[in-house]
Amino acid sequence: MKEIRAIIERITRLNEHYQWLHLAVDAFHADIRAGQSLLARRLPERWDPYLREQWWPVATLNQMLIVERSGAEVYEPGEIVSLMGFVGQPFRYKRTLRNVLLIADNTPPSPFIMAIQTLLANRIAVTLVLSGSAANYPTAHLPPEVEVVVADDHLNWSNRVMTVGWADQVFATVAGDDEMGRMNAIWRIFSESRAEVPANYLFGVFQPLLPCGAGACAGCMLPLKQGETALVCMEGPAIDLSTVALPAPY
Amino acid sequence: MAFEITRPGKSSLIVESPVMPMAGILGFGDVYRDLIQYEKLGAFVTAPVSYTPRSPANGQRVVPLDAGLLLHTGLPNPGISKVMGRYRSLWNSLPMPVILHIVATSLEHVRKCASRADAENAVDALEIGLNDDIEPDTAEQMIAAAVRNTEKPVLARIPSQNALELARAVADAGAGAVVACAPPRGVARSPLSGRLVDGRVYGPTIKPVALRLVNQLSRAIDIPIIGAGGIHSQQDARDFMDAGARAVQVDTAVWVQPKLIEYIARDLGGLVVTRTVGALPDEWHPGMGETERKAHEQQQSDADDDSAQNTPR
Repeated sequence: MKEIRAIIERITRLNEHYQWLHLAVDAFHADIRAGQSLLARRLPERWDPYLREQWWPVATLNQMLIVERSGAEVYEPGEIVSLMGFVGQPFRYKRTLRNVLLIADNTPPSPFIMAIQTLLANRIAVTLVLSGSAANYPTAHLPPEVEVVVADDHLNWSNRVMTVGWADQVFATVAGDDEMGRMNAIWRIFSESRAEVPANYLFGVFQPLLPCGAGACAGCMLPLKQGETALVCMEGPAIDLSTVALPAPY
Repeated sequence: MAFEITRPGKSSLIVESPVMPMAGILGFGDVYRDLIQYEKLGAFVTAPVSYTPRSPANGQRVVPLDAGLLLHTGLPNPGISKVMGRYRSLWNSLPMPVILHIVATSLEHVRKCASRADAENAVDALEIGLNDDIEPDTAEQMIAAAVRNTEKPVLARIPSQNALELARAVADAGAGAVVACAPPRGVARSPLSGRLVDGRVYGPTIKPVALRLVNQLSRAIDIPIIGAGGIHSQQDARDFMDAGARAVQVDTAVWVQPKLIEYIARDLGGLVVTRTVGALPDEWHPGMGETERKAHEQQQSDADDDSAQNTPR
């Protein structure tokens, strides 16, 4: 893990809800891979807000890192931010991957945007499901090869059974209000739609608040089956849901 | 410069710097190694360890607060045996003494943990984390149980409630030092789930409470005190030393600015070496030069006034 100072060189607004910050970074931070994130803090240093924010990269280009942020935040070109990273592990794909399904349930699909570029470059078909408030996410900037499906608040979309059967690997991210409960709902959809949910098939992309981002605080610890645990900041963000001890549905 | 941060005796903890992380802040010693020069720290306090494994707490565990956070983890750890197996070689390689933080779950578990740690060369001292509702009698028994079962120094981390009585009790029981104090408990509503979460509160606003406590304890007990709570700058750490602490533990500020603990250690390291006996506090602050400059300016001004008064009109 490293800590650097980066300069916001340019700001691009996607719509009123989302914006991209173009950050000048060093060569190390430009090597970030899809699935990894950075913990950011705006300068000059203040203690309010206290925690670093998790920033998801969407692209890198010549020592320039582009991250996606909420449109409600106000940033200025020339502003300096402190970045710590990388947090987490890159997404791990199957060697035989041909079709991937990405699901964003009531949260923006920011963790997936960088992955989409990589997947398409490797001729892998990508379907992005936007459910609930995620439907507000603008998709005009996404490559035309990406199939975008809008689902309702209960994760229903047309031909869902077909989509689930067609996908070789699934990554799902959900809103943080009840992350485990929502992951459980995703798990039930797939376990009802398939004869079995194999290992390394359905991954939850967890986004808990990360106070330390390095495995010290246990704030992001997930209970796994057989009494084991996993740290989202170290082993995640993508954790195989077949290994997670998901809570019983309400 | 080496100095003792526990009471003198055959088992005393000697450190090179009075600055260390609070239990859990640097995990089990494998966190932020690329960001912090561990060599500058006086000791390493491990993440909390219990005799039996503990699972993480359910639900939301982190609530951001104005200038701070509330954290409720459930103190998850795989139990002392697995912890020792996994981290023994790492702790042996650390450039400073290792203080094993033991969660005081029961008298029996404290006794077993102390004897288990006593056999480990990788552990230099024990810190017993007493829970918030503990009575002084029970605290005394817990510390006495640890002291009886290990030759290593035993530090007692006490909560802020009833701190004076607890400190006297653990001092009587043979604690080598008191860590004052554990982060206070609080309740806050999670902005994500909308639910109330009970946990420990961290942040700079804790410091005045902890500082007052350290000052009170320093006059009430005669064993060393390690100040902890809300240290977010070099000045904060110096305030604890002024209040009577022998050393300080830095908490969540490290997660926000990892280098800060190293800066504090460098600063207080300098303090230990350069502070003159009996010096007034502002004589050893970095602003000392400022004080001297102002004094010089004042002298100049006085001299100018004198010369103006002496000038014949």
